[in-house]
Amino acid sequence: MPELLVENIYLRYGTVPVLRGASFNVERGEIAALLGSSGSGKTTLLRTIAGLERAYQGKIEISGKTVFDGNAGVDIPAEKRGLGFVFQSYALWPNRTVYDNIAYGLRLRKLASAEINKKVGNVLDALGLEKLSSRYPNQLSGGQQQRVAIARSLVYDPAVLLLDEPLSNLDAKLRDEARAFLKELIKREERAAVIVTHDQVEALAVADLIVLLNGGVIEQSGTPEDLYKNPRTLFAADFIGNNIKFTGKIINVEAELIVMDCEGAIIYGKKLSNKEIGDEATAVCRLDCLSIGKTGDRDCIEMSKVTSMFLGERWEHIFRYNHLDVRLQTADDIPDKKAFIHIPRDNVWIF
Amino acid sequence: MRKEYWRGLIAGFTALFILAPVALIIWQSFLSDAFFNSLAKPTLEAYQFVFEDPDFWAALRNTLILSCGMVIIAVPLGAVLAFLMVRTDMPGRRILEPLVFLPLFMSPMVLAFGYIVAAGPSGFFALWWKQIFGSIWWSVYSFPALMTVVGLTHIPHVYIYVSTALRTVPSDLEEAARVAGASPIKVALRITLPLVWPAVAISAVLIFFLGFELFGLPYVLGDQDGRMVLATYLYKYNTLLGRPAYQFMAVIVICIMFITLPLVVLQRRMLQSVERYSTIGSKATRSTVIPLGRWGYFPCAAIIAWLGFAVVLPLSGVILRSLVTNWGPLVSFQDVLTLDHYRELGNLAITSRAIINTLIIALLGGLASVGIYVLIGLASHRSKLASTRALDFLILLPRSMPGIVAGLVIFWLFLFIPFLKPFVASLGAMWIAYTLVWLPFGLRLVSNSFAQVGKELEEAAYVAGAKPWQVAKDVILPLAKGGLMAAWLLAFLLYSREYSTGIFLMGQGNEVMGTMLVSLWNGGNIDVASTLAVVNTAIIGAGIAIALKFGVRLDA
Repeated sequence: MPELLVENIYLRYGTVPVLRGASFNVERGEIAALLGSSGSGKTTLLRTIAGLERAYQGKIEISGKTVFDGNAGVDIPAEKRGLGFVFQSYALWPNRTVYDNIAYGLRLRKLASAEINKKVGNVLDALGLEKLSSRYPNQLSGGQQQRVAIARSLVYDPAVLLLDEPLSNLDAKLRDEARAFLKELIKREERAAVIVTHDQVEALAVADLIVLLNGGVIEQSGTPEDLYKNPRTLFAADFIGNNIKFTGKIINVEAELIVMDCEGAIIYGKKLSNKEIGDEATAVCRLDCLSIGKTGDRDCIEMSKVTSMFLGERWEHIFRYNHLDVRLQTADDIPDKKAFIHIPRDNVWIF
Repeated sequence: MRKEYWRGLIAGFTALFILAPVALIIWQSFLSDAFFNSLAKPTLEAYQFVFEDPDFWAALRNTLILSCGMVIIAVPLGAVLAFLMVRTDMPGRRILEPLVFLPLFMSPMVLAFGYIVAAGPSGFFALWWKQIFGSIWWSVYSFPALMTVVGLTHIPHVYIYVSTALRTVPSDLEEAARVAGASPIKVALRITLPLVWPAVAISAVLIFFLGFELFGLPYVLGDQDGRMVLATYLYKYNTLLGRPAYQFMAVIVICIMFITLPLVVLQRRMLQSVERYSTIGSKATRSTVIPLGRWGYFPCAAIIAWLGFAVVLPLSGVILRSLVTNWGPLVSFQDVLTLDHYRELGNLAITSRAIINTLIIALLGGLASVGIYVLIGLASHRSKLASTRALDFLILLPRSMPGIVAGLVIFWLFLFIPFLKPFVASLGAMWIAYTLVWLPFGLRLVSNSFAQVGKELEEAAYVAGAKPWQVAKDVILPLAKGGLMAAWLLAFLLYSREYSTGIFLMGQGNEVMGTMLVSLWNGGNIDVASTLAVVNTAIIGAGIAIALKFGVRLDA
């Protein structure tokens, strides 16, 4: 039985549909990432699970208990769902110390003060906040505030932890550290966690399950590796990874192979839609699959170099064939004005 | 599903609190006698009587002229004042900043007495002027004098709206015009003024509306030659026919609200459209001021002269009057100097009671009212219920009621409800009327301070397991504490100044200073009235000092 079950959630603001049938499950000890661009409904979906937004259809179960059922008219208010929620802004109460922020959920549950002391102490330890317990939120750094927010949501032992863009308020260096810390913590604490993010790198790194949302519906969900290697739609292929993309006309269709004419260049790729000869189509290829080839190699096109940029750990070049531009990254600079670019047909998806 | 009946319940009680008095007025206006009189029959006679009374039309005309005069005087001067204070480097503007609000907190009764004892036919300054220059060319009892006084004392209302708008005008818009070659005057007229035009228009509607609320100044200054405005005309009917003619008073109230309600609705709609518009623009940015140089001393002197006329002149009048045994031509000031009036004030049971009652209603009553506003504010806070949103419109009704009208309807309500009748002349009745009059203003203050609390801070408490009342107690109220304290202080200032709301409710034992001033004027007891006026102003002054010390904005 999944710790969190979300089934076919429909929600609208006034007459504007925001969620149109979202479903996913999270097991204990598993992290699901709701990934999507802004306006995709990912935060709304998270807030619906928490009971902060009201759906009009669908079903949500937490640890086997139905907390929302549109048909049966069940809608348990947020305060009775017993979830942990980490807000994007952290939402630490500015008038309370770190200790009191964390202890509030326990006080609401009427625990004895000795027990509150112990539990808060444990969670402060676990998050490395022991020394900060008497400080006020405005005396903390962004990273410390984030830890307090997590501590506050963990202290009353919720089965499901919901995190709304928890890393977006941290600066880039801190974010990488916090990401690893977060993953390790959730695994150690064995919660079911749902994390909302617009950053695909973050989702790939942290999640066991990625739920890719687009316009209020789930475009594709699966393991990070599955989503990266086997995207089923153009949106999924393009949203994840660092890609090149070009459009053109289909000139030949074989069983699993499509041949496309893009600005005169002939591109081969995997067939992932029902398009036929003469249709416009889009090809997507991960940047890391491109390389410099040799004359006569299969899937190689001779292109002229437009410009080169040094990125630190590697070089990025722009190559052009008629009006077709291709980005390519290499370890070293390429001195030549022209080169054969290898676009391997096994790594090109055509939609 | 979260149960939100409590919101609807509070909204329902509030609606009852607002609508019951209004219903009572409408019902009363169609009766031939007072509603508690068994002989009262349904009729249109009262309307006929009032509409056939030439005094009604005279009062209506006077009110309209006075309102227009106020707009013509206060709006341009208030706008210029705001421009000088916000957009120029006029010398002394830092010191003047809190002072320009003072006329707002002066009791109109104190002002009215002050002008009479300072500049009236035998006023201090009038007599001194006569000694030096030979003759007096003005009369405080004339209509132009009344218009000047009400116009000049309402400048702060305009100042508040226009200065707020001016602070949000990004000065790069002005700088762009300067760079393009426009002179500072041209920039002010062609760039700045159009941008704050909506605020000027809103304040004009407000001032016009306030003209219908005027009571104390026209009552005291306009009374001598029998010139009435609608509010004083209404008050006349309490005694004119030997006994209160409630059916006529109800008709007059309906006539007043027939004019003020549309004005309030209009002002609200204008405010909303401005808010929509202003969210598009950028937030307040760095603002550069126009250098006035040496020329700045002229407007500075004009502002000081205005404050002298609107605050210092009447105030010094009542202070001087409270220190002399009698005053008139040929009396030397040193010979009549005394502190007896202050002793008398303490010894007289009725005046000392008025002072104590005022402090009770201003301090405790103000706190209790803020408590009521907090309950209503919490009920509508982030509520999507139709019942709480309807309150938004309902509070326009008390907003459109002049204080004297609200006092009258609460008086009637107490007479109407049998078990409340014994309490009609109690401080409690007075407090209820005050709470009704200041409901729109107080609710706005309270709601604004709730709106400052971040939504996620409340949601964080919900997901941690807090019920709505716990969220209110643990998150909203502690974080809105500053705003609520400010609301209490402002309630204190307004309640200790209030005079017209309690007029009909005043009886033996519940006198407050404001109503006491009115009845002292009626009795012609100018010595005690002046002394009480000084004490009243001192209490308000102390309140203002505390407010400024705690950084409470007086222009809320």
